Amino acid sequence: MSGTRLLRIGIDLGPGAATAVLVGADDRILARCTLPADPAGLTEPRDPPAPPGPSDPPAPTDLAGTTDLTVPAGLVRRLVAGLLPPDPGPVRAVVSCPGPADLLGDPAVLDRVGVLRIGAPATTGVPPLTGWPDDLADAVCGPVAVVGGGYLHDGSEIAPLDTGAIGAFARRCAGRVAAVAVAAVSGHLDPGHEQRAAALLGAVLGPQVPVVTAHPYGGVGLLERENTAVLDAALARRAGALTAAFADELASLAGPDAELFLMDGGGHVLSPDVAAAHPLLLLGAPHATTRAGAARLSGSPTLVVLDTRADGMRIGGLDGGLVPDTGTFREVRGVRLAVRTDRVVHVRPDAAVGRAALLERVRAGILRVGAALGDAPVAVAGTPGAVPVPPEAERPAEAESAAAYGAATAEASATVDRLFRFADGSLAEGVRLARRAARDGAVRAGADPRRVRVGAVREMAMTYVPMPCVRLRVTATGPLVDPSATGEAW
Amino acid sequence: MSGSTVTLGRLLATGLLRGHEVLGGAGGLDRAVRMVVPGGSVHAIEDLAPGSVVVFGPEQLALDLPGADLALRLAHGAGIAGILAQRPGAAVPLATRRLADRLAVPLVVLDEIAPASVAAAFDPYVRAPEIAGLRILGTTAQRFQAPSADAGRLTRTLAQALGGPVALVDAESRFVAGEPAVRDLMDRPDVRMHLSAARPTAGTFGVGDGDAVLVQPVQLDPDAPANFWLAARLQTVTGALLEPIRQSMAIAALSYTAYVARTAASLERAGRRRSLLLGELLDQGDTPSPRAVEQATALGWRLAGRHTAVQIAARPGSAELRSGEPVADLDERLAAHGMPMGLVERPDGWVLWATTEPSGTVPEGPDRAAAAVRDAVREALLSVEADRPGLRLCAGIGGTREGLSGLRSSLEEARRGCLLAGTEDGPAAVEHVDGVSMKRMLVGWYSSPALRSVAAEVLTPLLEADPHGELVRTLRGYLDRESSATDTAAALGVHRNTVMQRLERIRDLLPVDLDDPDDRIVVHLATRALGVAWDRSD
Repeated sequence: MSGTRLLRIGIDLGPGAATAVLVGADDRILARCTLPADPAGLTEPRDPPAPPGPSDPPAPTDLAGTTDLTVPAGLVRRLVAGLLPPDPGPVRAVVSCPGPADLLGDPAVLDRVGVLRIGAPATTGVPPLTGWPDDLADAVCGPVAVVGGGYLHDGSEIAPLDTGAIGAFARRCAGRVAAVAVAAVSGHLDPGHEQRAAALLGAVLGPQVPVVTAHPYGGVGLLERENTAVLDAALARRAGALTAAFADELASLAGPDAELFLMDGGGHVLSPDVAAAHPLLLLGAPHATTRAGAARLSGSPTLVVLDTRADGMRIGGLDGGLVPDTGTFREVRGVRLAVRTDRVVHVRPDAAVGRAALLERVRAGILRVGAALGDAPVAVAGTPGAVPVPPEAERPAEAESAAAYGAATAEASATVDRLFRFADGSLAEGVRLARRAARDGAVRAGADPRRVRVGAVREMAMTYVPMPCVRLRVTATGPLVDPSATGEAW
Repeated sequence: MSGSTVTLGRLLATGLLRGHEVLGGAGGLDRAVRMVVPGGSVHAIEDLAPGSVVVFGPEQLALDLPGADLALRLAHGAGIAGILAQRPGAAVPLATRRLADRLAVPLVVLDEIAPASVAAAFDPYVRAPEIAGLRILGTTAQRFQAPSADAGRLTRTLAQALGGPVALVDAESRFVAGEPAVRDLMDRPDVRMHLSAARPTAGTFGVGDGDAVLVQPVQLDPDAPANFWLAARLQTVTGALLEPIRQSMAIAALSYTAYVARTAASLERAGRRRSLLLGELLDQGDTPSPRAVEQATALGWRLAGRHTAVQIAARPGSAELRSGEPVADLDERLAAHGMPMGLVERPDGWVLWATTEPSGTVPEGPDRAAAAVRDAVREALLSVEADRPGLRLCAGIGGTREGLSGLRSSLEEARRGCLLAGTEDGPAAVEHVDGVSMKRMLVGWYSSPALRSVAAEVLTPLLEADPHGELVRTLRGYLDRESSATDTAAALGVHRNTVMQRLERIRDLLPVDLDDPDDRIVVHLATRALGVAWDRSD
């Protein structure tokens, strides 16, 4: 470790203009680089979709019709080149971008996927992809198998993992699918079966076929986790190409040891590997990043943020630095996912209505979002656009770079959401385990173990489960490790 | 890297962990290590003190699972100096290794690992290097309580105690025993300078990669130059360990000194006893006392049978052949060339004899036996001379004679042969004197005091004019070669004209006439009898 300070770069790739900032050790912006929205219209829709007024959640078809990458080649490189001093030393870049998951509504962008459910004989009643729109299912569905394995609520095996059937399934998939999704019953309690199945599939199919497991998604439902894993797998090729392109562009300027992270829909970082395997985690990332940045710029972790961009204004909130839990799951064209919804009001510029009417919509959005946040302050972020900003909203310094700043200062986090038995332990033991699992997850995601904060544990009674257990949900968050700073601390 | 800190890199270099591999985080190998502890679980890492090295068994940490990443990150957060774990069945993911690199947390794998024993083996080195040093010192002291049996065992034992290769070299840095690679380090200029200092002292020299070479003199006489040097190459010489290692080497050196001194003393004692016994045997005539015979038999001497005696001495003007190491060496070489027994010291040299069965039972004649003895002796002398510049040896071989009285006469002949050989040109001169040989007559002449005084008188003018003996050498060569100036010039390596000029001068200086046959033969004998060292280099 040379003792050179780590250079932190936050990159906001839109929608709209692309901005990057260089942030110093004292969290101040040292340099800024902005490129106008791409004239080819690759980072924003050429003609914004018609439906006016607030929509919740944002329409997932925002960026439909783009090429393989949702970000034009060379954009990251140009932004980083505008910031980096010569011979920069260690560099960390965090990218906030509309991910390939924003393309979900379009079956044409989805790859064919092999679907492996581990849960026989318990789960054969509702086969995988049940209830999907025909065009989506037709585009995605490759070989499907339900094999023996999976776990009960208490973590015990339903059946031993049927490795023979997995091998047969892998051979059926060979040459026919771009990726494979694996979901086990209660796989989030014990990832063992999913990991073993993934290893087997990987051994048969080789490294160029991504195998996406469902266990990183919390929640109780198998179908939601399975659907999410299937869509992740269907986008994995694109997501992998995107992260690889970012990594290459960064490495070409900052060297192969430069760290790269992407932003997720909760306003925290994802490693490129996780982002490539689980692109659905990127849903809503730009707006979540702006909120995180605005919260840090204004110094209040609970607030309502008016995120103004070229395609209108998004109104969203933060509660104690975290995206508020709405308790509901995202749906894409009727397919339930294991990704939570985010209460965001999108006010689009509308020439048909007057400025006053737009302002009314904004005020309504602030009310709606802020209702769950008490008397939260309202902060503006981004460049002023066609949608008017209420005069009472605060505009923190550097508000126009809030998204890039949010990326540069982003933290790692992990959320645990699962059942804990307390028949053979106490509730306190379950809480301890949940907190530790959340903390481990955050550390694994890159947080500095010494600075991880574990949030409040939320408990939900599970009256319908025939044993004493509790569903606990807890999030741990912490700033990223700075390897260059800790070498001399000892 | 300060000398007193223990790092994981240095711990690994001790060789206590056989077959280890550093999978990642090599950048952290030079961080100070405070302790080595077995790890109970991945989460236990956080409770460890900064600077700990944590050792995991396969149950506590599987490196091919995501838990390894967590362990590395927790270790980085807790300031852990390294993780030792068992090599997993599957390959460790590249991402894990790169994470170790990025966080500079050394990740070391072993094929088999027992955390408690690894920690127990390493911990003393870390917590209290001085205790580890005392352990080394104690081990050495114990192993060298008895003088080392020989140089080979000395270097082996010391290498084990110190944990690094050791070599023993002689005063001129020639390899004696141990690890030849360590000897090569003696050629470094700084080491060479230290070894050639007037007063030998122990020294330490860095030889790169954090390695050091330690040298320790072995001195029989504390005021004289070192007889040998002990050298050790060590990789983990930390400040606290350096002193005990030095002292260990000093103990080993002392032990070897005791060995060398004891060997020399016992050789000398045995030699004196043998020489007394031989004198007694020769004095007692044909009926030696039973006690003497018994002693001779105990020494392996054969008194019956046919004896061929050999006497060996240092050439006049050469380095002296004293009792001790060169004689022991000569003894060994002779034995290697088939000579049967040890050398016995006599007033004017060293003797031994080869004994064959009484005549008739030996297929080869006495001449063949004598020739074999001569070849063996010559080769032995040559090999000893080659190792010791400045030492010139000569030997005489007596005729083959029967019985104790035969031995006596053979010894006498050998003595005279030796005298004769001392007058010869060339290295390792060996003369065989038989009862009937002409040489025997010459020996009589040479040893006659009358001739010697005549010789001195005749040749004095030449020696006064040329103290280097060049004129005498030329004259002798000329007379030896039937007065051929051409042959003499070739033998001496000078031009014929030079020989002619010298002869002119010699004729002027000599008080006698070289053309007179009587004078000429006296002068010829005088040149041979005069103890001039015939070799130019002398």
